[in-house]
Amino acid sequence: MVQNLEYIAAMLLYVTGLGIMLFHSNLIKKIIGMNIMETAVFLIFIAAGYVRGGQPPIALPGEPLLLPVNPLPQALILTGLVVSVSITAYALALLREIYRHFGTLDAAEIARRKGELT
Amino acid sequence: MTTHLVVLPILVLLVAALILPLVREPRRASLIGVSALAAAFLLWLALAFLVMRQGAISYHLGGWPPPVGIEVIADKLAVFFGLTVFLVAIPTAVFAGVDMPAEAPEPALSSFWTLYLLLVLSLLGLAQAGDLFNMYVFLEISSLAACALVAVVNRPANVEAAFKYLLLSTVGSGCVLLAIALLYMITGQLNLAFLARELEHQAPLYPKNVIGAGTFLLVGLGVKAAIFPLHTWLPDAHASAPSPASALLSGLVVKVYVVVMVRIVWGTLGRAFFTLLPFKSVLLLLATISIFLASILAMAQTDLKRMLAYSTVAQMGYIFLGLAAGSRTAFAGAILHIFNHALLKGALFLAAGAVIWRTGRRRLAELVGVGHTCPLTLSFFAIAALGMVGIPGTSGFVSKWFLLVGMLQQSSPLLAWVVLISSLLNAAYYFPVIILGFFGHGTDNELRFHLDRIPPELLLPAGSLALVSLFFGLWPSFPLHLAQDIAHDFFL
Repeated sequence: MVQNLEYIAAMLLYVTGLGIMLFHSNLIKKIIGMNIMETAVFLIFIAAGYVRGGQPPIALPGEPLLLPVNPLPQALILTGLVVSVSITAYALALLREIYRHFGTLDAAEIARRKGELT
Repeated sequence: MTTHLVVLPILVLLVAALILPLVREPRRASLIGVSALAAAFLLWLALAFLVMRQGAISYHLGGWPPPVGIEVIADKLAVFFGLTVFLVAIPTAVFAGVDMPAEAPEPALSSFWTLYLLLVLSLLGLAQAGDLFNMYVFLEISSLAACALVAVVNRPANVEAAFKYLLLSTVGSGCVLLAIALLYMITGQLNLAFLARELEHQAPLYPKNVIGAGTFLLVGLGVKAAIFPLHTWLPDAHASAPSPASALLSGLVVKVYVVVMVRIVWGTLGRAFFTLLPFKSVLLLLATISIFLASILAMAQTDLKRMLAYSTVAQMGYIFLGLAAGSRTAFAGAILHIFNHALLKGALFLAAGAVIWRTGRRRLAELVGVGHTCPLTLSFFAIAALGMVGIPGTSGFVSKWFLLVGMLQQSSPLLAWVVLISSLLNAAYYFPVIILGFFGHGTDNELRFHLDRIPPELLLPAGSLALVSLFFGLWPSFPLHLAQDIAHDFFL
């Protein structure tokens, strides 16, 4: 139970993020929820590569590498973070334009004003 | 040297996409875009020829062999989808060269071409990716480029649709990444071939991980491929995007996720997975609902492009139905339908775009009598629409025929009825547009018949797509044999 603490934390984060995305009508909060959800996935990936009591996976000259953690998930998640940052940046840029066009960031209000436009 | 051919088309497009933001003049930007696509197409043709002659080619990036290095695969599935991509993307690019200046502000034009090339290269990359993480990265490139193409035109509806699309497709990518994590946990592999080998031993030990991965894959790819009930973003995004972008999004982008699904689920997870999870039954059910719901909603639309967008949801349903029907013939039919629907929907969106360019109208009620002023364009539209319905002689007929035969062989007449009855629904919303367009009397009394006053750069792409699809309806052997080979390789 305690050994899998990081997975439980990740699932809680995932559900929290998804909940925020689904149930909040404020678009900025939706982006925050999206980020929390992605962080949860990153945490699962990193946790999968962690070895309890492991060393950094760097081989120094003369020192044997006894119990390295898996470096691959860390490298992958670094890529994932870059992707996540660029999506957040683009989403925020879109939000700025949405605010300029509709004058609000409330999803229900935007749907109403869009109905008026057409 | 010849093996570098596997990645050269993507590299050509990538370099051109990165140069394009420096080009200020719109005409030059479109010239660079079209010629980069043409160069990549020639390279792809050479690659296709090689693959047809000597079988699948595996390319190791940086010379490191898998499982440590990254593998890029050029097999028949990749070649087949890549040819589809170029057949649609090149005419659409020619169309965009004239149409985009009318739709988007001038500063946005060179970034439109960057996004266009990035989208095409991400589609090729997804079709060729040999490991899961590479797939994830190309997945994100494709969804970002697709969203940005919707928002190239800064109108309220576009920005809102792009935001919705971005949010949902990010949830989809998140689900796919979670599925990758679950598979990596039990196998320690990302390369598809090694993962498949490892999974045979690990799947019985960790069934929950495999079930979880399958579910998240279905949700993640389902959002992106717009399967019911995850299709809500598609009509907004595809209807509001500029016409060439709509053709690309509706014709190609939603289908690449089917290719990814075939590669991961059928090609890698394999038999063990299908016994653990009722994947095919769920897919059949969702596809059936997609087909009927989207066809009925399409009938209710008043906007031409929105109607076409709903029709895409329905046609994606056919593809999923064929994949999950459990018959090799239907599987081949579904793969063939990827090709046919891409050409047909491309032709429909380009013809619609040409009509909108000429008349400025897109509501169906205002398009009555449009055949008097745009007879050729509406004829191309009609050819493609007949193909959508599946009239014999058109390409849509061939793929639907294979779906039907497969389902009857599988002794599931209920599924065959789904295909047949929904074809009737397709006719119900496509035929009024054509009949009223040619024989209806418009409101503005412009009844004098004259040929389309539309520049050839708009007319020819729509026409060539429609005629090429007609050609492959009458002589379908080339795509059909490829689809059957793919079904032979992947069907389970």
